[in-house]
Amino acid sequence: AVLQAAMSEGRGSTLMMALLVAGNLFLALCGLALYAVAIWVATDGYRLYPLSAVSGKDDIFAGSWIAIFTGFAFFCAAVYGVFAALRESRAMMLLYLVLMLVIYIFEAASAITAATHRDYLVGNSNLIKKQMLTYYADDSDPGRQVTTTWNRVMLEVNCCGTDGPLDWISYNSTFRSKFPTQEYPWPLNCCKRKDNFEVLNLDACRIGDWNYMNYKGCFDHIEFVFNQYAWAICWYGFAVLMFVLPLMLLAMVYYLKL
Amino acid sequence: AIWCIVLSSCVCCGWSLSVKPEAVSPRLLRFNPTQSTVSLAKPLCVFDSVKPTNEMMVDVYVVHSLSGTYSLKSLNLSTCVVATLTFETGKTYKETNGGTETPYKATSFGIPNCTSPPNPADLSVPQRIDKTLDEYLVRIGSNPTCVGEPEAEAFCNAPLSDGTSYRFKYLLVNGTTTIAETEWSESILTRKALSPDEIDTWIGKRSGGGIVVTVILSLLLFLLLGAA
Repeated sequence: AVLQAAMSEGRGSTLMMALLVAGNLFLALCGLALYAVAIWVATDGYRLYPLSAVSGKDDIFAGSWIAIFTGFAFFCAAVYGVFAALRESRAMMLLYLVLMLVIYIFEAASAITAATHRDYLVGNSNLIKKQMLTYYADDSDPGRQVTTTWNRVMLEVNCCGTDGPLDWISYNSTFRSKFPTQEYPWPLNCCKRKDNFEVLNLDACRIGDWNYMNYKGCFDHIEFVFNQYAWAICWYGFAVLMFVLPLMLLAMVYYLKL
Repeated sequence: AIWCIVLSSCVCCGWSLSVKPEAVSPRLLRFNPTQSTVSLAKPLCVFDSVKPTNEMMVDVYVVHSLSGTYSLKSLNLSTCVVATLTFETGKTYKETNGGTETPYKATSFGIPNCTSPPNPADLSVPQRIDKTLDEYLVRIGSNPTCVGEPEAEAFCNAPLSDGTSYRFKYLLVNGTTTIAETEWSESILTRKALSPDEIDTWIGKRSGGGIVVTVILSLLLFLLLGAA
Protein backbone atom coordinates (compact mmCIF):
# COMPACT_ATOMS: atom_id res chain seq x y z
CA ALA A 1 0.00 0.00 0.00
CA VAL A 2 2.84 2.33 0.88
CA LEU A 3 4.51 1.40 -2.38
CA GLN A 4 1.33 2.06 -4.36
CA ALA A 5 0.76 5.35 -2.64
CA ALA A 6 4.30 6.34 -3.35
CA MET A 7 4.04 5.31 -6.97
CA SER A 8 0.81 7.24 -7.53
CA GLU A 9 2.42 10.40 -6.30
CA GLY A 10 4.70 10.35 -9.29
CA ARG A 11 8.22 11.67 -9.53
CA GLY A 12 10.48 10.84 -6.58
CA SER A 13 8.16 11.22 -3.66
CA THR A 14 9.73 12.29 -0.42
CA LEU A 15 8.28 9.23 1.33
CA MET A 16 10.13 6.86 -0.98
CA MET A 17 13.25 8.92 -0.65
CA ALA A 18 13.01 8.77 3.13
CA LEU A 19 12.48 5.01 3.03
CA LEU A 20 15.44 4.53 0.72
CA VAL A 21 17.72 6.66 2.86
CA ALA A 22 16.68 4.92 6.07
CA GLY A 23 16.94 1.46 4.44
CA ASN A 24 20.36 2.18 3.05
CA LEU A 25 21.64 3.48 6.35
CA PHE A 26 20.44 0.28 8.01
CA LEU A 27 22.02 -1.80 5.24
CA ALA A 28 25.30 0.04 5.75
CA LEU A 29 25.27 -1.15 9.38
CA CYS A 30 24.30 -4.70 8.33
CA GLY A 31 27.13 -4.66 5.81
CA LEU A 32 29.64 -3.69 8.48
CA ALA A 33 28.35 -6.42 10.77
CA LEU A 34 28.63 -8.99 7.98
CA TYR A 35 32.15 -7.77 7.37
CA ALA A 36 32.97 -8.31 11.05
CA VAL A 37 31.37 -11.77 11.23
CA ALA A 38 33.21 -12.86 8.09
CA ILE A 39 36.52 -11.68 9.52
CA TRP A 40 35.79 -13.69 12.66
CA VAL A 41 35.28 -16.83 10.57
CA ALA A 42 38.29 -16.20 8.33
CA THR A 43 40.62 -15.77 11.31
CA ASP A 44 39.51 -19.23 12.53
CA GLY A 45 39.74 -18.75 16.28
CA TYR A 46 39.37 -22.50 16.90
CA ARG A 47 42.22 -23.19 14.46
CA LEU A 48 40.55 -26.06 12.66
CA TYR A 49 41.33 -24.80 9.16
CA PRO A 50 43.74 -27.69 8.36
CA LEU A 51 40.95 -30.23 8.83
CA SER A 52 39.00 -28.64 6.01
CA ALA A 53 41.97 -27.66 3.85
CA VAL A 54 43.64 -31.08 3.70
CA SER A 55 40.57 -32.66 2.14
CA GLY A 56 40.15 -29.70 -0.21
CA LYS A 57 36.85 -28.75 1.40
CA ASP A 58 37.81 -25.34 2.71
CA ASP A 59 35.00 -23.52 0.90
CA ILE A 60 33.46 -22.41 4.18
CA PHE A 61 36.50 -20.18 4.47
CA ALA A 62 36.26 -19.20 0.81
CA GLY A 63 32.69 -18.17 1.60
CA SER A 64 33.93 -16.10 4.51
CA TRP A 65 36.46 -14.29 2.32
CA ILE A 66 33.71 -13.49 -0.18
CA ALA A 67 31.58 -12.23 2.70
CA ILE A 68 34.38 -9.97 3.89
CA PHE A 69 34.32 -8.39 0.43
CA THR A 70 30.54 -8.25 0.09
CA GLY A 71 30.04 -6.97 3.64
CA PHE A 72 32.28 -4.03 3.03
CA ALA A 73 30.88 -3.53 -0.48
CA PHE A 74 27.35 -3.44 0.93
CA PHE A 75 28.49 -0.76 3.34
CA CYS A 76 30.03 1.37 0.56
CA ALA A 77 27.18 0.85 -1.90
CA ALA A 78 24.58 1.65 0.77
CA VAL A 79 26.31 4.91 1.66
CA TYR A 80 26.49 5.74 -2.04
CA GLY A 81 22.78 4.83 -2.32
CA VAL A 82 21.92 7.39 0.38
CA PHE A 83 23.51 10.17 -1.68
CA ALA A 84 22.02 8.86 -4.92
CA ALA A 85 18.54 8.96 -3.40
CA LEU A 86 19.04 12.42 -1.93
CA ARG A 87 20.40 13.83 -5.20
CA GLU A 88 17.49 12.27 -7.16
CA SER A 89 19.95 11.54 -9.94
CA ARG A 90 18.92 8.81 -12.45
CA ALA A 91 22.53 8.06 -13.39
CA MET A 92 23.57 7.63 -9.76
CA MET A 93 20.55 5.42 -8.99
CA LEU A 94 21.34 3.25 -12.01
CA LEU A 95 24.93 2.79 -10.91
CA TYR A 96 23.69 2.04 -7.39
CA LEU A 97 21.32 -0.64 -8.69
CA VAL A 98 24.00 -2.29 -10.85
CA LEU A 99 26.47 -2.33 -7.96
CA MET A 100 23.90 -3.78 -5.57
CA LEU A 101 22.96 -6.50 -8.04
CA VAL A 102 26.59 -7.55 -8.48
CA ILE A 103 27.17 -7.62 -4.71
CA TYR A 104 23.91 -9.49 -4.22
CA ILE A 105 25.04 -12.24 -6.59
CA PHE A 106 28.37 -12.60 -4.80
CA GLU A 107 26.77 -12.69 -1.37
CA ALA A 108 24.27 -15.31 -2.49
CA ALA A 109 27.20 -17.41 -3.73
CA SER A 110 28.94 -17.00 -0.37
CA ALA A 111 25.90 -18.10 1.63
CA ILE A 112 25.18 -21.11 -0.58
CA THR A 113 28.83 -22.20 -0.59
CA ALA A 114 29.06 -22.11 3.19
CA ALA A 115 25.87 -24.14 3.67
CA THR A 116 26.75 -26.77 1.06
CA HIS A 117 30.28 -27.32 2.26
CA ARG A 118 29.20 -27.57 5.84
CA ASP A 119 27.23 -30.63 4.71
CA TYR A 120 30.29 -32.06 2.95
CA LEU A 121 32.56 -31.51 5.90
CA VAL A 122 30.50 -32.34 8.96
CA GLY A 123 27.25 -33.77 7.54
CA ASN A 124 28.49 -37.00 9.12
CA SER A 125 31.74 -37.98 10.77
CA ASN A 126 33.08 -40.13 7.94
CA LEU A 127 35.09 -37.53 6.05
CA ILE A 128 36.83 -36.31 9.19
CA LYS A 129 37.43 -39.88 10.36
CA LYS A 130 38.94 -41.02 7.08
CA GLN A 131 41.12 -37.94 6.96
CA MET A 132 42.29 -38.58 10.50
CA LEU A 133 43.15 -42.21 9.76
CA THR A 134 44.95 -41.29 6.54
CA TYR A 135 46.92 -38.25 7.64
CA TYR A 136 47.48 -38.52 11.39
CA ALA A 137 51.17 -39.37 11.91
CA ASP A 138 51.82 -39.16 8.18
CA ASP A 139 55.24 -37.85 7.22
CA SER A 140 54.14 -35.07 4.89
CA ASP A 141 53.02 -31.48 5.05
CA PRO A 142 49.28 -32.24 5.26
CA GLY A 143 50.21 -34.99 7.72
CA ARG A 144 51.99 -32.52 9.93
CA GLN A 145 49.06 -30.10 9.85
CA VAL A 146 46.46 -32.75 10.61
CA THR A 147 48.58 -34.29 13.35
CA THR A 148 49.23 -31.04 15.18
CA THR A 149 45.59 -30.04 14.87
CA TRP A 150 44.36 -33.37 16.23
CA ASN A 151 46.90 -33.41 19.03
CA ARG A 152 45.82 -29.99 20.13
CA VAL A 153 42.11 -30.72 19.87
CA MET A 154 42.38 -34.00 21.80
CA LEU A 155 44.36 -32.31 24.53
CA GLU A 156 42.22 -29.20 24.80
CA VAL A 157 38.79 -30.76 24.43
CA ASN A 158 39.66 -33.99 26.31
CA CYS A 159 38.46 -36.21 23.52
CA CYS A 160 39.91 -39.08 21.51
CA GLY A 161 39.53 -39.95 17.85
CA THR A 162 36.59 -38.85 15.74
CA ASP A 163 33.83 -40.95 17.29
CA GLY A 164 35.93 -42.28 20.16
CA PRO A 165 39.03 -44.39 20.85
CA LEU A 166 37.50 -47.25 18.86
CA ASP A 167 38.40 -45.40 15.65
CA TRP A 168 42.05 -46.00 16.38
CA ILE A 169 41.74 -49.71 17.01
CA SER A 170 39.03 -50.59 14.49
CA TYR A 171 40.79 -49.36 11.39
CA ASN A 172 44.15 -49.69 9.76
CA SER A 173 45.69 -46.27 9.65
CA THR A 174 48.91 -44.42 9.12
CA PHE A 175 49.15 -44.14 12.88
CA ARG A 176 48.67 -47.90 13.29
CA SER A 177 51.32 -48.70 10.70
CA LYS A 178 53.87 -46.64 12.63
CA PHE A 179 52.99 -47.46 16.21
CA PRO A 180 52.16 -50.97 17.45
CA THR A 181 48.79 -51.49 19.12
CA GLN A 182 50.43 -52.91 22.23
CA GLU A 183 52.11 -49.68 23.18
CA TYR A 184 50.02 -47.11 21.36
CA PRO A 185 46.52 -48.42 20.81
CA TRP A 186 45.60 -44.74 20.51
CA PRO A 187 47.71 -41.59 20.55
CA LEU A 188 48.87 -40.66 24.02
CA ASN A 189 46.88 -37.44 23.75
CA CYS A 190 43.87 -39.66 24.39
CA CYS A 191 45.20 -40.32 27.88
CA LYS A 192 43.71 -38.40 30.73
CA ARG A 193 46.13 -35.88 32.12
CA LYS A 194 46.84 -33.99 35.28
CA ASP A 195 46.52 -30.22 35.35
CA ASN A 196 50.13 -29.93 34.24
CA PHE A 197 49.43 -32.19 31.24
CA GLU A 198 51.38 -35.08 32.70
CA VAL A 199 49.77 -38.40 31.72
CA LEU A 200 47.76 -39.65 34.68
CA ASN A 201 48.79 -43.27 34.24
CA LEU A 202 50.39 -44.53 31.06
CA ASP A 203 49.86 -48.26 31.56
CA ALA A 204 46.23 -47.88 32.47
CA CYS A 205 45.68 -45.66 29.45
CA ARG A 206 47.40 -48.13 27.13
CA ILE A 207 45.36 -51.00 28.37
CA GLY A 208 42.17 -49.00 27.88
CA ASP A 209 41.10 -48.33 31.44
CA TRP A 210 38.06 -46.08 31.25
CA ASN A 211 39.17 -43.91 34.14
CA TYR A 212 42.47 -42.98 32.58
CA MET A 213 41.53 -42.03 29.07
CA ASN A 214 39.24 -39.70 27.17
CA TYR A 215 36.56 -41.88 25.71
CA LYS A 216 34.51 -39.13 24.12
CA GLY A 217 34.99 -38.54 20.38
CA CYS A 218 36.17 -35.18 19.05
CA PHE A 219 33.60 -35.00 16.29
CA ASP A 220 31.07 -33.13 18.42
CA HIS A 221 33.55 -30.34 18.94
CA ILE A 222 34.61 -30.22 15.27
CA GLU A 223 31.02 -30.26 14.11
CA PHE A 224 30.14 -27.51 16.57
CA VAL A 225 32.93 -25.28 15.30
CA PHE A 226 32.22 -25.75 11.61
CA ASN A 227 28.51 -25.34 12.21
CA GLN A 228 29.17 -22.04 13.91
CA TYR A 229 31.32 -20.87 11.03
CA ALA A 230 28.99 -22.05 8.31
CA TRP A 231 25.77 -20.85 9.87
CA ALA A 232 27.30 -17.48 10.72
CA ILE A 233 28.25 -16.91 7.10
CA CYS A 234 25.19 -18.57 5.67
CA TRP A 235 22.30 -17.45 7.87
CA TYR A 236 23.57 -13.98 8.55
CA GLY A 237 24.32 -13.46 4.84
CA PHE A 238 20.88 -14.83 4.06
CA ALA A 239 19.23 -12.40 6.46
CA VAL A 240 21.07 -9.46 4.93
CA LEU A 241 20.04 -10.57 1.45
CA MET A 242 16.42 -10.87 2.57
CA PHE A 243 16.62 -7.23 3.59
CA VAL A 244 18.42 -6.14 0.40
CA LEU A 245 15.75 -7.62 -1.86
CA PRO A 246 12.84 -5.26 -0.94
CA LEU A 247 15.29 -2.39 -0.71
CA MET A 248 16.39 -3.00 -4.31
CA LEU A 249 12.81 -3.34 -5.52
CA LEU A 250 12.04 -0.03 -3.86
CA ALA A 251 15.11 1.53 -5.46
CA MET A 252 14.00 0.23 -8.86
CA VAL A 253 10.60 1.82 -8.53
CA TYR A 254 12.22 5.04 -7.32
CA TYR A 255 14.55 4.94 -10.33
CA LEU A 256 11.67 4.45 -12.76
CA LYS A 257 9.76 7.36 -11.24
CA LEU A 258 12.66 9.76 -11.46
CA ALA B 1 32.89 -66.13 43.99
CA ILE B 2 32.97 -65.99 40.18
CA TRP B 3 35.55 -68.66 40.16
CA CYS B 4 33.26 -71.40 41.26
CA ILE B 5 35.47 -74.37 41.20
CA VAL B 6 34.49 -77.88 40.43
CA LEU B 7 37.19 -80.42 40.55
CA SER B 8 37.35 -83.56 38.60
CA SER B 9 39.61 -85.40 40.88
CA CYS B 10 42.32 -87.36 39.25
CA VAL B 11 45.30 -88.02 41.36
CA CYS B 12 47.31 -90.01 38.91
CA CYS B 13 47.63 -87.51 36.18
CA GLY B 14 47.09 -84.08 37.68
CA TRP B 15 44.14 -81.75 38.13
CA SER B 16 41.81 -80.45 35.56
CA LEU B 17 39.69 -77.57 36.76
CA SER B 18 36.44 -76.76 35.08
CA VAL B 19 37.21 -73.07 35.03
CA LYS B 20 37.71 -71.08 31.87
CA PRO B 21 39.96 -68.07 31.43
CA GLU B 22 37.89 -65.00 30.67
CA ALA B 23 38.56 -61.72 28.93
CA VAL B 24 38.36 -58.77 31.28
CA SER B 25 34.81 -57.44 31.33
CA PRO B 26 34.02 -54.55 28.99
CA ARG B 27 32.76 -52.73 32.05
CA LEU B 28 36.35 -52.37 33.20
CA LEU B 29 38.17 -52.34 29.89
CA ARG B 30 35.82 -51.02 27.30
CA PHE B 31 38.16 -51.59 24.37
CA ASN B 32 39.22 -55.14 25.14
CA PRO B 33 40.16 -57.00 22.98
CA THR B 34 42.01 -54.81 20.51
CA GLN B 35 43.32 -55.85 17.11
CA SER B 36 46.32 -57.63 18.55
CA THR B 37 45.90 -57.91 22.30
CA VAL B 38 43.51 -59.62 24.66
CA SER B 39 43.48 -58.80 28.35
CA LEU B 40 42.56 -61.82 30.44
CA ALA B 41 41.52 -61.82 34.06
CA LYS B 42 44.12 -63.66 36.11
CA PRO B 43 42.92 -66.90 37.71
CA LEU B 44 42.22 -65.65 41.21
CA CYS B 45 42.04 -68.42 43.79
CA VAL B 46 41.43 -70.92 41.03
CA PHE B 47 44.39 -73.10 41.79
CA ASP B 48 43.95 -72.95 45.54
CA SER B 49 42.55 -76.44 45.76
CA VAL B 50 45.87 -77.73 44.46
CA LYS B 51 47.70 -76.00 47.31
CA PRO B 52 50.22 -74.22 45.14
CA THR B 53 53.64 -73.35 46.46
CA ASN B 54 55.41 -70.11 45.83
CA GLU B 55 57.76 -71.41 43.18
CA MET B 56 54.88 -72.53 40.99
CA MET B 57 53.97 -70.38 38.02
CA VAL B 58 50.90 -69.98 35.85
CA ASP B 59 51.59 -70.38 32.14
CA VAL B 60 49.22 -69.01 29.53
CA TYR B 61 48.71 -71.03 26.37
CA VAL B 62 47.19 -69.63 23.23
CA VAL B 63 45.77 -71.35 20.17
CA HIS B 64 43.64 -70.37 17.18
CA SER B 65 40.16 -71.62 17.86
CA LEU B 66 39.71 -72.76 14.29
CA SER B 67 43.02 -74.51 14.13
CA GLY B 68 42.71 -77.22 11.49
CA THR B 69 45.21 -79.72 12.75
CA TYR B 70 44.26 -79.36 16.35
CA SER B 71 40.92 -80.44 17.62
CA LEU B 72 39.80 -78.72 20.79
CA LYS B 73 36.94 -81.10 21.30
CA SER B 74 39.30 -83.79 22.45
CA LEU B 75 40.31 -81.49 25.28
CA ASN B 76 36.86 -81.08 26.68
CA LEU B 77 36.59 -84.65 27.90
CA SER B 78 34.79 -84.72 31.15
CA THR B 79 37.09 -87.33 32.54
CA CYS B 80 40.62 -86.94 33.64
CA VAL B 81 42.40 -84.64 31.26
CA VAL B 82 45.96 -83.63 31.69
CA ALA B 83 47.57 -80.85 29.79
CA THR B 84 50.58 -82.85 28.85
CA LEU B 85 48.44 -85.54 27.30
CA THR B 86 46.42 -83.33 25.00
CA PHE B 87 49.13 -81.12 23.68
CA GLU B 88 52.80 -80.63 23.96
CA THR B 89 53.67 -77.93 26.45
CA GLY B 90 56.51 -75.50 26.09
CA LYS B 91 56.08 -74.72 22.41
CA THR B 92 56.91 -71.15 21.41
CA TYR B 93 55.13 -68.67 19.19
CA LYS B 94 57.52 -69.32 16.32
CA GLU B 95 57.39 -73.10 16.55
CA THR B 96 53.62 -73.17 16.36
CA ASN B 97 53.29 -70.46 13.76
CA GLY B 98 51.53 -68.16 16.17
CA GLY B 99 49.21 -70.82 17.52
CA THR B 100 47.82 -71.85 14.16
CA GLU B 101 48.96 -75.44 14.59
CA THR B 102 49.19 -76.19 18.27
CA PRO B 103 49.02 -74.08 21.42
CA TYR B 104 52.02 -71.99 22.37
CA LYS B 105 53.11 -70.62 25.67
CA ALA B 106 52.67 -66.88 25.54
CA THR B 107 53.68 -65.78 28.99
CA SER B 108 53.74 -66.82 32.60
CA PHE B 109 53.18 -65.10 35.90
CA GLY B 110 53.26 -65.84 39.58
CA ILE B 111 50.20 -67.23 41.26
CA PRO B 112 47.78 -64.42 42.07
CA ASN B 113 47.39 -63.72 45.73
CA CYS B 114 44.19 -65.30 46.89
CA THR B 115 44.20 -63.96 50.42
CA SER B 116 44.08 -60.31 49.34
CA PRO B 117 42.54 -60.28 45.88
CA PRO B 118 42.64 -57.01 43.94
CA ASN B 119 39.58 -54.84 44.16
CA PRO B 120 38.25 -53.67 40.78
CA ALA B 121 37.27 -50.39 42.41
CA ASP B 122 40.98 -49.71 42.88
CA LEU B 123 41.27 -49.31 39.12
CA SER B 124 40.09 -45.75 39.56
CA VAL B 125 42.55 -44.94 42.31
CA PRO B 126 45.71 -43.56 40.72
CA GLN B 127 47.96 -44.58 43.59
CA ARG B 128 46.94 -48.20 43.38
CA ILE B 129 46.30 -48.60 39.68
CA ASP B 130 49.63 -50.12 38.64
CA LYS B 131 49.57 -52.77 41.33
CA THR B 132 45.91 -53.53 40.75
CA LEU B 133 46.29 -53.86 37.00
CA ASP B 134 49.21 -56.18 37.45
CA GLU B 135 47.37 -58.33 39.98
CA TYR B 136 44.16 -58.31 38.08
CA LEU B 137 44.94 -58.98 34.45
CA VAL B 138 47.44 -60.44 32.04
CA ARG B 139 47.75 -58.97 28.58
CA ILE B 140 48.29 -61.42 25.75
CA GLY B 141 50.06 -60.03 22.71
CA SER B 142 51.84 -57.27 24.56
CA ASN B 143 55.35 -57.67 23.13
CA PRO B 144 55.59 -56.34 19.59
CA THR B 145 59.35 -56.71 19.22
CA CYS B 146 60.23 -60.26 20.19
CA VAL B 147 59.02 -61.89 16.97
CA GLY B 148 61.46 -60.05 14.78
CA GLU B 149 64.52 -60.68 16.93
CA PRO B 150 66.42 -63.74 15.80
CA GLU B 151 67.90 -64.26 19.22
CA ALA B 152 64.69 -63.60 21.02
CA GLU B 153 63.92 -65.41 24.18
CA ALA B 154 62.24 -68.73 23.81
CA PHE B 155 58.83 -67.47 24.81
CA CYS B 156 57.40 -64.54 23.01
CA ASN B 157 54.12 -62.89 23.91
CA ALA B 158 53.80 -61.63 20.36
CA PRO B 159 50.87 -59.63 18.99
CA LEU B 160 47.86 -61.69 17.99
CA SER B 161 46.44 -61.49 14.49
CA ASP B 162 43.48 -59.19 13.92
CA GLY B 163 40.02 -60.58 13.31
CA THR B 164 41.00 -64.03 14.59
CA SER B 165 39.43 -66.14 17.33
CA TYR B 166 41.71 -67.47 19.99
CA ARG B 167 41.34 -69.75 22.95
CA PHE B 168 43.36 -69.49 26.10
CA LYS B 169 44.30 -71.86 28.86
CA TYR B 170 46.05 -71.49 32.20
CA LEU B 171 48.45 -74.15 33.35
CA LEU B 172 49.84 -74.34 36.84
CA VAL B 173 53.41 -75.54 36.49
CA ASN B 174 56.25 -76.35 38.78
CA GLY B 175 59.35 -76.10 36.64
CA THR B 176 58.38 -78.21 33.66
CA THR B 177 55.83 -80.35 35.49
CA THR B 178 52.23 -79.48 34.93
CA ILE B 179 50.33 -79.53 38.20
CA ALA B 180 46.89 -78.38 37.11
CA GLU B 181 45.11 -76.82 34.22
CA THR B 182 41.97 -74.87 33.49
CA GLU B 183 39.70 -75.55 30.57
CA TRP B 184 40.15 -73.77 27.27
CA SER B 185 38.41 -70.44 27.25
CA GLU B 186 35.51 -69.61 24.98
CA SER B 187 36.90 -68.38 21.70
CA ILE B 188 37.72 -64.71 21.91
CA LEU B 189 37.73 -62.72 18.71
CA THR B 190 40.33 -60.01 18.24
CA ARG B 191 39.09 -56.88 16.57
CA LYS B 192 39.18 -56.86 12.81
CA ALA B 193 41.27 -54.12 11.20
CA LEU B 194 39.06 -52.32 8.71
CA SER B 195 40.50 -50.35 5.86
CA PRO B 196 39.93 -46.60 5.99
CA ASP B 197 39.19 -46.78 2.26
CA GLU B 198 35.96 -48.53 3.14
CA ILE B 199 34.65 -45.42 4.85
CA ASP B 200 32.07 -43.83 2.62
CA THR B 201 32.58 -40.10 2.76
CA TRP B 202 29.49 -39.26 0.76
CA ILE B 203 27.47 -36.70 2.66
CA GLY B 204 24.20 -38.56 2.50
CA LYS B 205 21.40 -36.42 3.84
CA ARG B 206 21.82 -32.69 3.37
CA SER B 207 20.88 -30.25 6.09
CA GLY B 208 17.50 -28.58 5.83
CA GLY B 209 19.05 -25.15 6.35
CA GLY B 210 21.37 -25.61 3.39
CA ILE B 211 18.49 -26.58 1.11
CA VAL B 212 16.32 -23.65 2.23
CA VAL B 213 19.07 -21.10 1.73
CA THR B 214 20.09 -22.46 -1.66
CA VAL B 215 16.57 -22.67 -3.05
CA ILE B 216 15.35 -19.31 -1.79
CA LEU B 217 18.45 -17.43 -2.84
CA SER B 218 18.47 -18.97 -6.32
CA LEU B 219 14.79 -18.11 -6.82
CA LEU B 220 15.23 -14.56 -5.59
CA LEU B 221 18.23 -14.07 -7.82
CA PHE B 222 16.17 -14.98 -10.87
CA LEU B 223 13.43 -12.68 -9.64
CA LEU B 224 15.83 -9.78 -9.27
CA LEU B 225 17.47 -10.38 -12.63
CA GLY B 226 14.01 -10.57 -14.18
CA ALA B 227 13.00 -7.31 -12.53
CA ALA B 228 16.19 -5.62 -13.66
